[in-house]
Amino acid sequence: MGRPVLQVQEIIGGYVKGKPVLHRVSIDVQSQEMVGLIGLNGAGKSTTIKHILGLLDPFEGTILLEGKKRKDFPAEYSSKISYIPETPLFYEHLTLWEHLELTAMAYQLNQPDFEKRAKELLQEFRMERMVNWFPSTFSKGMKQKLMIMNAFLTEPSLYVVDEPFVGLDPRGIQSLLQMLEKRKREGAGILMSTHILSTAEHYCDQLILLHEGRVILRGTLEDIRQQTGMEKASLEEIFLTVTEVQRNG
Amino acid sequence: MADLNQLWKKRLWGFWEDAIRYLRIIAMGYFYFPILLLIGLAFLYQYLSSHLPSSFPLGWILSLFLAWLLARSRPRTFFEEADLIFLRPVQHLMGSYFRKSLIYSFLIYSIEMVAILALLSPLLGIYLVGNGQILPYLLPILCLLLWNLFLAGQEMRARQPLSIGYRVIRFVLTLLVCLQIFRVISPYWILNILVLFIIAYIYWKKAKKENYNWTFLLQVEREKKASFYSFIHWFMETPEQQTSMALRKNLRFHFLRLPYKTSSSYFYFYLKSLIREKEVFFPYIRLTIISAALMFWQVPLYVSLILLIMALLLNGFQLYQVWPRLDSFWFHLYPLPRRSREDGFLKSIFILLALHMTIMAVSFSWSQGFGKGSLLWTMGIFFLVSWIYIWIRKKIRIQL
Repeated sequence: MGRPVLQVQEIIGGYVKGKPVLHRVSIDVQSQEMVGLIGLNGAGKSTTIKHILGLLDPFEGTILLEGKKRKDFPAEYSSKISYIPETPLFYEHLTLWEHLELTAMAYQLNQPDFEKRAKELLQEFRMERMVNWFPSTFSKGMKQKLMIMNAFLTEPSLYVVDEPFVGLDPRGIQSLLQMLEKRKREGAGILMSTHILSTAEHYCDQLILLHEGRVILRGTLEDIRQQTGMEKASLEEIFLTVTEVQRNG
Repeated sequence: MADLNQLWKKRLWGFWEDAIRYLRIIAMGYFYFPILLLIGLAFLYQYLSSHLPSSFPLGWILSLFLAWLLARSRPRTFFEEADLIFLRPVQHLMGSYFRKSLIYSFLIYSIEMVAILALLSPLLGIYLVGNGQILPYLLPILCLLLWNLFLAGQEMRARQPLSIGYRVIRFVLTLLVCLQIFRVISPYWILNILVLFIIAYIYWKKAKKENYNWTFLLQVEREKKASFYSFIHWFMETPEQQTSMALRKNLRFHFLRLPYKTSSSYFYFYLKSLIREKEVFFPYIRLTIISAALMFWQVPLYVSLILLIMALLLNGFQLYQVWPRLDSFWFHLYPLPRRSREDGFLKSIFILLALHMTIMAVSFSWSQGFGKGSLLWTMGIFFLVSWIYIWIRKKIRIQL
């Protein structure tokens, strides 16, 4: 059993007060654990992630990262999270290398460590040739690789990964999963939101199924099978059945 | 095809509704400061124009400037990106749309020409042959404008954008006619009309069989739109402002090696961004060069100081307008104090304006001596520090 990295405790949240999108959502991520956040479009996955990142404040409930609230330790809180967004968000004024350099500066990496790590990442994702290019000239997959490299440049306690496979080639997907596994072994916690259920089933230690802003299932795949009474079903079969049942009331 | 006929009107009003909104804000003096600067510049122009030597080659300068302006004139079409899919297949039905686009562009450019000649009218009578009336110059210039716009319209049918050679030839022909209009060389009107007519006919004959090159049409429209909004950008930030980057490989920022530390993060981002963004850096360079050239004039120190402050204000205004736009999602996640973003931005502006000011002071020292130059530089630095770190800081702090 690892130590708690992320504790989302009974949060009620959303964009407009009085119209909550999340209803008493709780999520725990331990060190050396990968938690899969799954759900239909509009289930509240991205809103949950925005609350964890500190882009939205919950109306009720608390979020702790290594036992500390963002409000009390904003810089420390931010330095312990790496985020890979679903849609690549980059600076159109900076080249690939400069993106990495800026991240290294902001997260207080020393220069020799940064250069070593950046070169390894560039090699791993086969992006050495594009080092002085503007990301606006990249393909969608390359842009996503830039986001991934940025996230792995630092070594935080928590990785928040939102639909990371969109646009990635199979080799890129493999590299990403291997790196997530490696960081997990080294002690990080990972929260991954994805629609690729076979990957979630294979790689995630815990699964959380969100539906209409509520957690309707949680636990290991075994736990979920028992909760639903679908003993030999795959995650995909469970997901489709449960969301269909919910739809029909 | 009622919809296609309505389309031009719809697009034209769509643009002007938006444009009038911005122009009204500017005209109402809401952003009064840049306007005051322009008025100040006009006074300076008057002062400097009375000191020009009698041999000043206004005819040449005006011909070169107008030829450059005319040769790069292109019809405004108000096309949008999606038109590539929706309008391209029906372009054979859009003859009236293209004609309206040509007439509209002619009217807009004509206003520009009248404004330029009106602005220079006090000089026309002094440095050019004739009594300084605008009309004798204006009519042939408008004919030349129509010829250029017609050719530009035909060029939009070319499969590939025409090579630089074509553009140079058009510029040279336009320049030759302009030189005749301003009587720098003797006019041969019959020959002019004949040559221009033959060229226009050949263009038309060649182009009429071709379809429009929509990639080129859209590119031209993007540029036209961008140039309008860069004018607005001098007064305020607009969401329509389009940006393009230059890598500036040669600079590589070696001359500005930044300390590799957390506190440099935003300075690193803003300085590179301001230097790379063409829509910001080109006007910065242009104004720096023009203002440095003006400092060569032997005028009293107080005039140079006014000029220096006005140039810094103009450049500073356009630099600081980018603040709300150069924001990023990532800034909200970085483990950095929020105020450090503000510090990095102000430091970048200060560096660029201090460089501008130093170039002006050096140019001033050249003409008026080192002592006066140093005095001007000291006053300039004092102004910059107080303006940037008090006034601009207050402005951007509100928006944090």
